[in-house]
Amino acid sequence: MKTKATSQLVPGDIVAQPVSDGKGNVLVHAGAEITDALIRVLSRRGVEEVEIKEGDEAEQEEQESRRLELSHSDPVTKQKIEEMQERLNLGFHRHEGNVTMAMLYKTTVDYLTAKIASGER
Amino acid sequence: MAVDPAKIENMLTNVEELPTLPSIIGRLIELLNDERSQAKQIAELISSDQALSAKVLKIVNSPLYGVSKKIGTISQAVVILGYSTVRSVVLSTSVIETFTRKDIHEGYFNASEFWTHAIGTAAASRAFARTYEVGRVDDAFTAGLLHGVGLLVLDQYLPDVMAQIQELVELEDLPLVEAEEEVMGMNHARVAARLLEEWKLPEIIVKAVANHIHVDNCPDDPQLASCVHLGDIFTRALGYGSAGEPTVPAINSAALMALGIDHTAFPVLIEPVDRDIQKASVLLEFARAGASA
Repeated sequence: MKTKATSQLVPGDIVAQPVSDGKGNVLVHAGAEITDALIRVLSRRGVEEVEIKEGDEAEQEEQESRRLELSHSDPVTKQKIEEMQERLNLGFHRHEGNVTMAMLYKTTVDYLTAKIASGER
Repeated sequence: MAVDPAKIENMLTNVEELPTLPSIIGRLIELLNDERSQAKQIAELISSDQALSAKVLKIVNSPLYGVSKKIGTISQAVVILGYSTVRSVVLSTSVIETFTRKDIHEGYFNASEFWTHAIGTAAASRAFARTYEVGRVDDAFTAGLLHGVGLLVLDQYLPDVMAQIQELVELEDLPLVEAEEEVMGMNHARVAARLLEEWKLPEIIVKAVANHIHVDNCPDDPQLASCVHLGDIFTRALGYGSAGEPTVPAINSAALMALGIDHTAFPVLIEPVDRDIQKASVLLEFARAGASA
């Protein structure tokens, strides 16, 4: 975990500690992903710095969250999620190091995992 | 073994059996492209074909267009949704029907998988055009639907060329487009554009299809091609149908630049794009009906 000035935040950073305004209202929960819109909101509300997860830490927590999601799923859901990940691993195997494709991969895995887990797919 | 590109062009020019749209569609395209034509003329022509009318009404009343009140006649459809939307709907049903006719043999591509991808790309391209206010949302839909028809032409009329391409994709793990360019010196987008020119589709649609792979090739008007480029890639990532290869091509940064976005927008985009793809499922019924006829 490290402290970053709001002006230094970049989209994709993961919030490590809840961010509150002066009145104790939580503006951003821990685990939220920083976006351009969120940076503007934080600046407007006078938030000067935010605790951000380190790269490895964020990745590990994300993997742990996926593992937990899988371990709580029924076997059919679990199999669907594994098949989806296998399909995407094959589909994206040429794009190692490509930031844009890494974001599309992560976005798709997260979205489809949630969709399968909720029984929509 | 590489094939001379001139030979491919020549073959495409001389293939007498290149798929043709029903004659009523040719007349409709002429009318819809003519600014002087009137809604009444278009409605009368579509209404003269009962089967086509029924399909158009089913689609315009589906969640794809989200009209609040049921549209009961073709005249109403033209007035309420406009020429551009009606052209898109008529073309969509006709193209799907043309390529799923009984006499079209099934080659490398499974019709249902192919059209699931094409219809998904159409809806996703339209979603990008709408979200980024590119305008021409119906042209984005049509171009998205047609972006892969070059593959069907190759599969149907140049099966030996297609076999060579697929060998490179499957055995040497080459991206489809690279395999096409290695074997025939052009990609399937060029083949599709050749067919769409033959069908006299508006130039804007032909250009979007022709450039949807190498978006950076059309710096003067890259937005529509960019919508199709991203629509194609998002549809593949979401797993709708088959685009002829298991891998997802890399996003061309020129497409993101043309729409003024970067990759941080993806988490916000994916759900509405997926929702629009699901709304287009009404078109899949026609593809499946044609394939099983």
